[in-house]
Amino acid sequence: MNRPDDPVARHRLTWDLIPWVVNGRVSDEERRDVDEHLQSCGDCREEYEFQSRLHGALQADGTVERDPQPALQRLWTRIDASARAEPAASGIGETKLRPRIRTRYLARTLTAAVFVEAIGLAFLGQALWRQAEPAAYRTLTTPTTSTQRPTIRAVLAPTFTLGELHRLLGRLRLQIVDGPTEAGVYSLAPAAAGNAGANALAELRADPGVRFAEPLDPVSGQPQ
Amino acid sequence: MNPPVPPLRMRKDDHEQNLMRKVAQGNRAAFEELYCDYHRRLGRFLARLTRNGELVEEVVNDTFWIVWRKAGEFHGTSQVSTWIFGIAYRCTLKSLRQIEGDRRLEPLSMRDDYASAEEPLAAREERSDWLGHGLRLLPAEQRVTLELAYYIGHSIEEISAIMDCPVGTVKARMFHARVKLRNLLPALGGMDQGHESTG
Repeated sequence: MNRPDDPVARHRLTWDLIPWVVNGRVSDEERRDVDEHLQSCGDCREEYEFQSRLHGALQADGTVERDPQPALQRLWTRIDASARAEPAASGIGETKLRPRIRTRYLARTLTAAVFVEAIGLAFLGQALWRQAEPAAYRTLTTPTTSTQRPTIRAVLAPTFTLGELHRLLGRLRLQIVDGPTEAGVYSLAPAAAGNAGANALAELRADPGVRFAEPLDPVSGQPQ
Repeated sequence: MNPPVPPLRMRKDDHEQNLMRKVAQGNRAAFEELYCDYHRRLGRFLARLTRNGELVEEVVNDTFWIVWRKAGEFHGTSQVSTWIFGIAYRCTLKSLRQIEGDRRLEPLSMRDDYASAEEPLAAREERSDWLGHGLRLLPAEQRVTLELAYYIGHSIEEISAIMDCPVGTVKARMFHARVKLRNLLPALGGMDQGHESTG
């Protein structure tokens, strides 16, 4: 304690600390200061003695101790029942794993998925870049062919993998001509190899991996 | 300045920190060792706050239910006993509020000044019962403060962490508890009833 010079303040500090002097949880310095004050203060000495008796009485008070095993078994039953009740995070039979372990596993899996997706996006970007390679450069005056004009705008579910995207676009004979934007919007157009299927838009909308798809005006490029 | 932790308590905490690391990994044997030790300590502590034996076991199990689920979040920045008693304290308050609607849990400022508790108990109770009765007449926060200091042996700072309140509040609660007990337990102090030192 910061030992005050004022005797009244020192008395008050000592008074406050008496219980923790009694239970032995003050620093050596505080203990010395309290001892010194007790030498000259009858009220604090009396209080110290009273608190020492109270401390002793509380320590000596006998409470019947119970066998912990029955309560422990009830707790295990509760813990195990809770673990069974929680849905498995994945299909690898981890229902007995504890919640934080499952959370950790899920986090790692998601991190790995993001990493794999990033690699895939890099490959896709490279492939798209090669596809555009014949036109080594483009100027603002270079006319775009009709097949490169986006006819559909779509937003994909975050869980939609690149492989699934490739398969879907291949089946519908679509290609990505722009995007994804920061908002995750892809601009799609019929693939160069042929016209897109007539019901490509409907099939896109029906696919669970596609969150949103809308037709674009082939001339203005705006939503119809 | 925080007082030093006594060597014996420090060794015990080292062992408990080790157990907690194992519990965080799902080690059931480590959990059971911790449970059995604290079942005794928490049980005796809680028995002073409520005479309902079933409630005591319920609070102990609620506490260790949280210990099992949150062990991974314990990073060893405090003593294990401080952490566990903090959980037990919150579980106790919750249970007492649900069961008793305990007016003694109201903040001190909202309470009458214990007029009914002013009659000394010495004349009508055996000495062994005075303490229990005296403690039960204290508001829960004061009872808990006294118990944590005298029965469990926690420092001011540890009680502050357990009860999630400033150090000054711990001192104030202890102060009020001491003054009231001196009135309620004159035989223990060997002094005249009604004597009250203001410090």
